[in-house]
Amino acid sequence: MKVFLSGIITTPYAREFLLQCASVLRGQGIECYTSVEGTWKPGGERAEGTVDQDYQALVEADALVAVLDGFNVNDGVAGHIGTFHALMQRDPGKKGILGILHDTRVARWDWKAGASALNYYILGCIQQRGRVYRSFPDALAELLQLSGRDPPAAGESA
Amino acid sequence: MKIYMAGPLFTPYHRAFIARNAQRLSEAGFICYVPHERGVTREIEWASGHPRTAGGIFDMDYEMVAGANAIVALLDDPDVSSGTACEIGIFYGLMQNDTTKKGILGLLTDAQAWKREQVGAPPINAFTLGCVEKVGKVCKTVDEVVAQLTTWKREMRQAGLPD
Repeated sequence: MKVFLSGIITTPYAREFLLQCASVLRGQGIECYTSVEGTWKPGGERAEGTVDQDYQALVEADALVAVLDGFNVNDGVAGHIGTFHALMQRDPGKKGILGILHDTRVARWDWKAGASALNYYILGCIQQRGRVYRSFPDALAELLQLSGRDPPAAGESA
Repeated sequence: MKIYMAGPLFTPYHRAFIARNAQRLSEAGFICYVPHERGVTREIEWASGHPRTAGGIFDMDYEMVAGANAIVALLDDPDVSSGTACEIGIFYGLMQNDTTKKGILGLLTDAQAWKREQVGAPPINAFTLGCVEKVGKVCKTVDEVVAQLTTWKREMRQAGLPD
């Protein structure tokens, strides 16, 4: 199982979150691509190189995990979702899109609003072949199920 | 010297970053007001069916803003958080008649904002930027923040103000 991990990459703590998620995925035996690793440097990327590299990783991925935080979903993340949705149309092997939404302005503090206040086009795109989760461990449990594995036991680090 | 830590509190990684910065400032001898610690109170209130109203949240945060000698405001993301911008405006206004208030420090780590600056555009909203620059500055790192706060603390002591 290969996962493309998409999220906000412009601040150090958002990148740190993605790197922690990537580390957990790899610890669970799931291959993972996130654009902030390797030779990537803040502000150093070029538009052309970014799209080529990310597109290739989306082609190779079985699932997209997208962090949907922000008042609006980050434009780069939205681009990844759209591209992966299109790729799913001609690749039945792709498992789907798993969104993660923490943002309390959108989901509320108790997550009572869930994903309902997200942009409907993006939400629809995800819900055709996936759903939105309130945390990374919830999304991980689904990923493990998709890859035919049991979710982490209670107390196991996720 | 009391510092109000302003910034977006809406994701776990924003809150963790602000908490780490507050810890760093506390270790440097500053008293930090960290509003997201009140967020825990808010979650309990939601869970108990007694959510605080917008007015209640305003009163709670205003008390901390008004009681601070300086603000450290996290300015990241595509737009400065509206709550943060409002707090910057309030503090700028309060500073005009209160010599115990030393200034506002922005902390901007967002690569996209600095990219805007490189091509000559304001990295954040020009009014918010002006507010900060008139009474402080925008920093790229917490080290810069600590250095400026230390200078302000020294100035307060020299002026005989309680720090």
